[in-house]
Amino acid sequence: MSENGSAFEDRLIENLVAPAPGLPHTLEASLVRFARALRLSGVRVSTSELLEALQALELVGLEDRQLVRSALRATLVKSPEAQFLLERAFDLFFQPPEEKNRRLEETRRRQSEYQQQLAQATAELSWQGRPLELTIVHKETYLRLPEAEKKKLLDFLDRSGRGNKVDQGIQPLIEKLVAGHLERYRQQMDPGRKSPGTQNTGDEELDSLLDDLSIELEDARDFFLYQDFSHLSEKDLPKMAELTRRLARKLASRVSRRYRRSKKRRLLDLRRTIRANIRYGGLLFELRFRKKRLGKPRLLVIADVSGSMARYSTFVLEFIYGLSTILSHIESFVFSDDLERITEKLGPGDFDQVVTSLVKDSREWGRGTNLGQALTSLGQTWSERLNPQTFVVIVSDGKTLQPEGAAQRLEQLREKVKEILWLNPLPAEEWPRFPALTQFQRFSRMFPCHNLAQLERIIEKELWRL
Amino acid sequence: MELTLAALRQAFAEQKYICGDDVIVPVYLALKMGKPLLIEGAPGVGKTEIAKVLAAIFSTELIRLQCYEGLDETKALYEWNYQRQLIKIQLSRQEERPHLETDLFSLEYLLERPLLKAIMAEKRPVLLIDEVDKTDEEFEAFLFELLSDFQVSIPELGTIKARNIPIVVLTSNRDRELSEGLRRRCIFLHLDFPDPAKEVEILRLKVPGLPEKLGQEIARVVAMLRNNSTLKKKPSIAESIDWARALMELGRDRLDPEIFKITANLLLKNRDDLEHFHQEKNVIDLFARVKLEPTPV
Repeated sequence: MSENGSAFEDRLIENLVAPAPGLPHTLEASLVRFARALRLSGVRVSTSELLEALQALELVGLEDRQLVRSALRATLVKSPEAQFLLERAFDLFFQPPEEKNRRLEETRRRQSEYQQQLAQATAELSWQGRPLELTIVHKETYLRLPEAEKKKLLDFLDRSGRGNKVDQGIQPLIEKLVAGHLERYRQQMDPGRKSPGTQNTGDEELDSLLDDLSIELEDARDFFLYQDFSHLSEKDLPKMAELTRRLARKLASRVSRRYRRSKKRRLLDLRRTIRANIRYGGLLFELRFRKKRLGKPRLLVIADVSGSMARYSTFVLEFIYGLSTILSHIESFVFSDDLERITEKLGPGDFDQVVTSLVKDSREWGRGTNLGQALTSLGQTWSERLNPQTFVVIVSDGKTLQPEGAAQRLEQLREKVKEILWLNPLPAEEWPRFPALTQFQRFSRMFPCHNLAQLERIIEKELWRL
Repeated sequence: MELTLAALRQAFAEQKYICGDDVIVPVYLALKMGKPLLIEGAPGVGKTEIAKVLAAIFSTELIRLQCYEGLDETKALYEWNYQRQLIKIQLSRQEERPHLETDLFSLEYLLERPLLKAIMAEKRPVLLIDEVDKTDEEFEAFLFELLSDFQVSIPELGTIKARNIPIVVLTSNRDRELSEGLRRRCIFLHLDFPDPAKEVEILRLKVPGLPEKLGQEIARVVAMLRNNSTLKKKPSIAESIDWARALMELGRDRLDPEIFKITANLLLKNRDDLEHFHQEKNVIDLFARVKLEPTPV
């Protein structure tokens, strides 16, 4: 393209176009490289889109940086999320050389820092003076643990290594324990993070760009999606509520397509056929077929609102109500030491306020958690709402008074309804500490759930199963 | 009109559509490269307007296909006028008509729906396929095929090829994800609400005689409302224009909490949102936050 252009244009192109090592210094080559960066960041750019981008650049010319950006944005990416990524990548990719070198230096520094940290982790994670054999992923997880957790782990290693009778042959066992603990922690944490130095495209500059890009994206990403419910502050609540509603709507639209009438034609529906053809004077032009219609599930939510559970339950309720378009009916109950029906009180509105005012108004509450009593009341007063089409969702940490009674009631409930889904804010590895939970798990499907992303995943999976 | 970026910018300005290069460039590319334009964005942000503006710029017909759930080929493409055919048959019982069958399946008895109309138009039209995210995947596949070839096969009549390839504009509210195939075929434009500065320009154009200060305040309030995450429905551009007109009719030249509460129903069309702003403290809070923002224009 620059053959016919002036020397001025050539210089502009130089600043705009990133020279690729080993490749000719052309527009096509750098566009390919840019597309590669996008692909490695998760945007699917097809070859035909790349060709279109080239065509677009020919149309708008290369003089104006903003025009180039707009042209690439219109052709290479086809969704707002991908556009966001392209904007960041564009800024990083098409930079003057001094800026690039600075970034390269920065990346190298980060890399060496990372190596140092890994070395430190390896040194710390030792038992009886010998380093434990752990994978890099586990060491990375260790580095991300909060200080208190790290200390606990190191204390454990220290204590278990002492003592006269401790045989060094049990080292593999210790390694397994530590690895298991770190693995469980890792699964709870934010899954999307990448550590520096994970990209290895063979092109150092590209690697550096991808590192920078992933860091920038993390900062911008939805903080609320992975934030533990219990760590949210008062001012975060409205945004959280909006995100909850948005996610629920999206989930509802995904799931609702199952409920659309099946286009697969089978049996002729004579009544509807005749009705549809009345306007043709009795000649049967259009045929109508019997279509299978999937019913929407009925949901019954029993939410624990004692103490800290109140806020947690609010979010779950908000999410479930956001799904109301794909559920035929939602019954909601809250309980602390007894059950109260709140179906009528909940509607579109400030869930947080409703639940808080409920807790305040009731004289009985705050005295403790009694699931057994709640389930008894359910069975006695509202038994007509329990039928084989109903899907029960229990939201509680399970720390209840009289757990055996509760387990019995749960068993009775299980027999009357389709399924019991239990959402538990406690992390799964703490469950063995409460034998009551093991009992409860016999009659329900229990899931650890403490952020919005998990909640969405669980509900989606369970709804698909219906 | 020779199609250059500058010419297009001017044409849009003449049609009173205020936008920046981030809108003009994709439209330009779609026109030059002969590809459909896919516009995504929140409701009320001006997607359909772009199609109307294009029709005005090229002095051509705007053919609109409003999509909905359950839309199928027949309603989008063509249908035979059965009633008329039946009547013809009844009438011809009296006489012998040797070519009745061919007559019955002639263009006379064909009901053109928007897509066929677009294919058969004399002059190159603008085809607006509105809210394509409301249809299902089957319809998308059908659309995909049509947009590639621009010809349709009617068994009784043969294949009809488009005389002029229409300018195709698709809009989507993002209620669901469109299929990748369709998205790839298009030039993509994501439309956001305008920033306060642009909003003031729009108000200036669409509501002549609007006091300058009032326009700025309206723009700031509306921008703040759109950023408010507790609102169930964000005010659209059309609604802010309506509000500006109403305020002007009422003889106001500045905003205050009282007038806001009285006229809020022009801006907020959702009961809960309105109730939220019927509470005095919320309105005061809104105004406080708007005043704190630096003057945009």
